[in-house]
Amino acid sequence: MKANVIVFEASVFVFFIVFYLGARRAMGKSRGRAFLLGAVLFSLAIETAAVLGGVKNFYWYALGDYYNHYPLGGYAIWLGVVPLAAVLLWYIVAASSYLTATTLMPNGKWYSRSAVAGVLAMGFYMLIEPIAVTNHWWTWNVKSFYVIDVPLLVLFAVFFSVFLLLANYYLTIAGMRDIKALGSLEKMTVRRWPIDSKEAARNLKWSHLQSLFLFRLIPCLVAFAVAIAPLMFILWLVANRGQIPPGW
Amino acid sequence: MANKRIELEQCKYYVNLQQEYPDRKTVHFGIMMALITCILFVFGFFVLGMLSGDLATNPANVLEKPPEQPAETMPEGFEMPEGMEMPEGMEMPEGMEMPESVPPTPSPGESESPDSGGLTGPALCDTGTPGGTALSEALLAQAEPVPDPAPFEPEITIPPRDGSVPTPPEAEGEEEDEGPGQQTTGVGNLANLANRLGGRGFQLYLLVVTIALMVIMYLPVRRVRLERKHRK
Repeated sequence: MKANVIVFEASVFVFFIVFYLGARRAMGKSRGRAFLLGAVLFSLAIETAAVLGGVKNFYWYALGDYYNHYPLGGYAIWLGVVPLAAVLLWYIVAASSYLTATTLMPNGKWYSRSAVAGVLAMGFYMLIEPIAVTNHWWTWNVKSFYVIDVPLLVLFAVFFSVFLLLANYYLTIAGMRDIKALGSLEKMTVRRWPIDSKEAARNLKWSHLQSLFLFRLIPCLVAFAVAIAPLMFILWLVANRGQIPPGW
Repeated sequence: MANKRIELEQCKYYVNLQQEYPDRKTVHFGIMMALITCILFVFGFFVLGMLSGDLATNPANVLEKPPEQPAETMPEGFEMPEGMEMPEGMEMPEGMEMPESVPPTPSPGESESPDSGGLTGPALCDTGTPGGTALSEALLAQAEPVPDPAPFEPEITIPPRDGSVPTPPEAEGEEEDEGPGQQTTGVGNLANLANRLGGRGFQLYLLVVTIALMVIMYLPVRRVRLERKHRK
């Protein structure tokens, strides 16, 4: 057996099912579902931006013709330009980091738990990334500073993305808090539709709270871009590998 | 009820107390199930990493191009050598024309033109008639010696079945004298790590990261198990 992409994809699907069943019991059905939905949308947005921006590609397995050469084929399920397996992998990493951080720090603040979970997620990707690039599950194209053929930028991106998703989850779903900085934006948008209520987050119905959680992913994406842009620039300046045109 | 509420408050970060009142044992079982799955997941990646050891030692592997399917049309800018004909089923790309020196491929039943060169001479002899032989001899005598066409050896990359990747040619469009190249060096190159420590560098790296992750994932599992014991 080789570390072919189909082995990767199949194992991610199998582990995802078992993991989700466990996480659903641990987090509760409704919260587990909300976490999954948020994680999938958040990671899909980031991965799609990375592929379209020429930072990353799945070129090896994006070619239909490739199936004729390779008996085990490529990725089976795609969400636009990103394989479903890559998105579910991120979910497993984020959710397991969340469970670990929350269990180990039951009285910790939301930011310290999110930060610990982010560091743990970085550890996961330190294991996954070298194997992925070696087997061409995906390829990094960005001009940056690389360590063992993995851009350092990626590890920071994993940290920030997990940190922001979990911060949103802790504040909105678990803590049911209002965020002052987002108050006026929420009043103009999501508080009009679909929530249609000016009540505090603590008094919202579950479906409305879930909508608020999903809406807050947009500011999280903006915060992610703001956090990652200067790092991208700094690592671009000290790059030890140039840009590779996507798709060569 | 109040006691149950207080107990559930302790796991409010896991479950929604407004919607669900799950048994605490269910929550603990869920955490253990998810994290043990995750430990197995990490171990699975370690196994996949060990299987990738031979690929990791190749410095050019990471930037290797995927194998291409043989093109149906001629590549852009490609010119047929003199005396060569297009193979059957192959089409010229749009905007390309056959060189004048190359005769068109005759369709079945169509006769060859007399000045088609010495290569077609023997075909005329196949008529089996004396006239045909005489004609072919005459044509052969008239024909000027045509130099042999340059040997055409198309480069075909066949992907090996065992998953190993051949060393690629030089990366196209490589920027010279402008910043870093497309090949990482030193700490940036995975093959450098893989070839260290007697070729076990990559495996050792994977082993260290895997053990660290598994230990970290085990800590919450242990904590939950202890909590369950205390509750009993």
